[in-house]
Amino acid sequence: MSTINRVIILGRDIAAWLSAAAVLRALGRTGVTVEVVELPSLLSAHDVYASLPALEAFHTLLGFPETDVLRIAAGTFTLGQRFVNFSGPRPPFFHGYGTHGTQISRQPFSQFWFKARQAGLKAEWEDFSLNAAAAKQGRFFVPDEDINAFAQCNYGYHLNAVRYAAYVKAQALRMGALVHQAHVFDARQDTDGYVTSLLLGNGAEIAGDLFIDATGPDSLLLGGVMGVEVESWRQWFPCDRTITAAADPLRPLPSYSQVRALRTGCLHLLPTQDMTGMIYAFSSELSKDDEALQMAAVVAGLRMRPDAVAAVLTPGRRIRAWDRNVVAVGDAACVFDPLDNVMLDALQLGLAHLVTEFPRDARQPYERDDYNRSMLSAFNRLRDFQIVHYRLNKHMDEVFWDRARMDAPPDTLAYKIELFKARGIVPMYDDETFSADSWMASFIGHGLMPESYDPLVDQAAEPDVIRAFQSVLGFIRERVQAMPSQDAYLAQNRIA
Amino acid sequence: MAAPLKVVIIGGGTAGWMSAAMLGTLIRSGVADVRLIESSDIGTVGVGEATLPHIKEFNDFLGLNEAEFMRETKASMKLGIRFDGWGRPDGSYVHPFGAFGQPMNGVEFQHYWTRARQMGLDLSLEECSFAVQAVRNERFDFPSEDPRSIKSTFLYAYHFDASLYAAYLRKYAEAKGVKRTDAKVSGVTLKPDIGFVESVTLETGETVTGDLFIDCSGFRGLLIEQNLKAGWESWGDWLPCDRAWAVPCERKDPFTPYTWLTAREAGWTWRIPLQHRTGNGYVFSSRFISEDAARETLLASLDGAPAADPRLISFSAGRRRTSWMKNCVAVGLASGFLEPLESTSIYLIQIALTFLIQLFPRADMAPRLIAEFNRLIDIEYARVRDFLILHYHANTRTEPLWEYTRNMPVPESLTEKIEQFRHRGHITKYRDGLFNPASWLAVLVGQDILPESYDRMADNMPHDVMKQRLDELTGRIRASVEAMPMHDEFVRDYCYVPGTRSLHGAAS
Repeated sequence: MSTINRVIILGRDIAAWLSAAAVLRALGRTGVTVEVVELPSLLSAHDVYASLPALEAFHTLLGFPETDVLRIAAGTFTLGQRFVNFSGPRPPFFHGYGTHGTQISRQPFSQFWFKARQAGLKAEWEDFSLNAAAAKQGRFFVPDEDINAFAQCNYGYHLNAVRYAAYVKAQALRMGALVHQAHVFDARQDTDGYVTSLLLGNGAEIAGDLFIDATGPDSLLLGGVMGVEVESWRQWFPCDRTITAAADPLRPLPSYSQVRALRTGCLHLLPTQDMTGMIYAFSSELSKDDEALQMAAVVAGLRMRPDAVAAVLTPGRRIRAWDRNVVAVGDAACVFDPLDNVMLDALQLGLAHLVTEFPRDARQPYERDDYNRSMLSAFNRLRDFQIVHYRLNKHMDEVFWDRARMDAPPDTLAYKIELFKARGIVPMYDDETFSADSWMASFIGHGLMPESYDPLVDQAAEPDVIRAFQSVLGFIRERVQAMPSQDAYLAQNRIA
Repeated sequence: MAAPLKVVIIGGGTAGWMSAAMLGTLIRSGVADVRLIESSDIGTVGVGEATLPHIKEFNDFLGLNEAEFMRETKASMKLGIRFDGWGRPDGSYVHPFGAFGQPMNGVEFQHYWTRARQMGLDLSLEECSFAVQAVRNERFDFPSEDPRSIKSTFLYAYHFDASLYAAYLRKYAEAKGVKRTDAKVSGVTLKPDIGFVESVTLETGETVTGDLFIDCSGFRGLLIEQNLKAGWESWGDWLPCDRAWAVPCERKDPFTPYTWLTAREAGWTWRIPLQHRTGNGYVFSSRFISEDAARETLLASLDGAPAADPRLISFSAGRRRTSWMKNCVAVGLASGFLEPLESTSIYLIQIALTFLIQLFPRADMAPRLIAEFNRLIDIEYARVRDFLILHYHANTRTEPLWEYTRNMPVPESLTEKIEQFRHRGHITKYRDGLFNPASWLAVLVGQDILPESYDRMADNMPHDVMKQRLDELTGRIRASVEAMPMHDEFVRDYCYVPGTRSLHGAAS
């Protein structure tokens, strides 16, 4: 058995540096060294990384203090996502990162709400989410004991991408990562196709035992050198191009991200302290770049800073994330549509699995097979969650949206939708990132309602149920009033 | 609110009365109307006197008082299962309802244990489990609610008399309004167009209609198989045992807080201590031993005088291809049979009822609910199946049964699990279905499948720090176990039934 000690990371930006930091943090003291062959950045000053709640715990593992990260990366907190204009005349809805309501006589709150809606209740699903209520009023909170007893509430971040990547790079270098700059490279392989070293343009040869491909959507090592193919997700994701731009920061700062359905795509607004990041993902068949940018700016009502960046978007998953001794992470393994802010989460999932299944011997298949199985299912579950927004849209008589509505979803998603339609429950599979609460927020937000509720909720007496509803709404109202605004919270904690 | 769903349960016994008790909770509010039909002429199988910790959730759902339930069912406490002669003929291990050590710095405990072993430290995995040490010392106490305490690292279950449990639940269910009819079913009528069960006809001439039928009729599957033709999937190639002799005997010491299973020439024997007797049995394969020889083996292994004639039970391992068809849900043996090697019989009844309650239908029997029930229950049976096969497969015994099971091809899902563990001690955790990584760890190591290496992150801890933490762990376990009451004392104080037993052999 040959011990794996030399990890070589080929790539750029957050994928490369988070990989370096994660490997060094987990294994640096066991003799594992990390060298990063850094390719030119693909980031622009407009880029914002939006995270899901799991990043907080990952930072803790890596030893990155939250206030440092947010201060340096001009970060803000986000309690969820607001979806605008996806469902015809229905008002915008929230996907809050938390639970809704509380159990009533051991039955899930959702079933009581379905029953009440059938009887004419006006209160929306999101009215029972503390996250959504706080976000709508521009507030922010970190859950205390009272709140934890009432609900599970989490938050993510919006981070200036250039500054966040620089912070993580500095941490990785501090942890001992070596860096080589390169524009081009060649890979040397042995007779079995295992990569033995990278040859850089300046003639240097970097030898290693395990290679991490963090090159982004081009997947230069896994795709380019190893020849691992892409499973295209084009049939489910109609956007094939993005325009990224930024405007001045919003005041007051929102504590959520927003996505709005436009005629030819989806417009994302991601607020940081120093800008409002904008991504418009659209179909190039239906809009030209300049039209798209103009439309996005008008709809957002923002004056865009110059130098917007256009790029192709090709959602799809490499059929193996790990081939021989090459492991791809982030976009190099799987390219996602910008919906639901899953990119950092997918990167983090890959790294968390890689360090817990760090191979003993790269020639043995055990860790590799298990890793590929887990990542395949984790990526597919994220994909399913994203498809919901296209599949369940109610944007009638617009080519882009009509087409998106017609595409048959993957079986796993079709099953979830059908069961939800029948009874308002969400079957959960292995390797889900989003909780059942998140799935429900999305389904309900898009106007999908169950045909029947659980008859067991009929056991609870009506006055008790009404009291329970009122107490949830009362608790939320009271707590939200006491919360600081995002701006005030950042100032109090010396982040802004 | 809709009219109550008319539920008809076919069959008493453990499955029938557990179903009646659980569904009986829906009567008062008008959600369901529940009727149970059983014939006192038909015996029940009464397997599953040993349970898993989940049974506590079931009893809590019903609101049963634990001490009363234990008195009524002559129960004892159970912290796990002791396996003698499995893997190696001279081996002995415990599968506890508890953890081995605890994760340190985000790394699972077994990796530190493997590292320690490879460095030459003399440390058995059993020393690292509080529950195993309690088992080995025949002690019992309730788990601590303080998560920092080593005494919070286990769960417990019970051994009880299944027929007394059924009788106890019958009282409960009848008090909730379940109507019982003592009669044999003489006919079943299906709705001609959609094939739903419309009614059952009783020997008395009465016709009983229902919206939902629960088939608890045992192996034969009166509704699910004989009428709805669900089909049977045999697992007999992997689990070749097809008979059991069962016999109670006089209670002798030790009064063990564990189920004791001993591998034998052509199967295995069980020993289950109750307050008033000890339950025994020999599960065997008729391909490898005659019924008479198996009977002799069982009788020779008893530690007290037999209290009845041994009873022969025939079965085959496998399950119905569909547990819920149309408007009929099969529960218990009507749904499948897996030998009670890991005390899963009552669990499989309970989990079917839990899913049924979670997916409780209306009279239209929405097909999506049925599909989800079947998806979930399929996973449960397959998980148990793989886990049981592991006990047979990983062995170095020389008798023909054991040579057969060692060499037979096993499900791929199991091969992967074994190879992954052998390679690096990794156990993949899954969302649905029984047996968490600690259970797999206990049985894999118990059956002599040892990891060749470990998670490299375990090397982050300096050797002396690791050694000190392992010493602390085993020291805390030893001290805490010594301070626990003996199991017999505990049961006597908590739920003793005066006059029916003695904890030291002689009748009091």
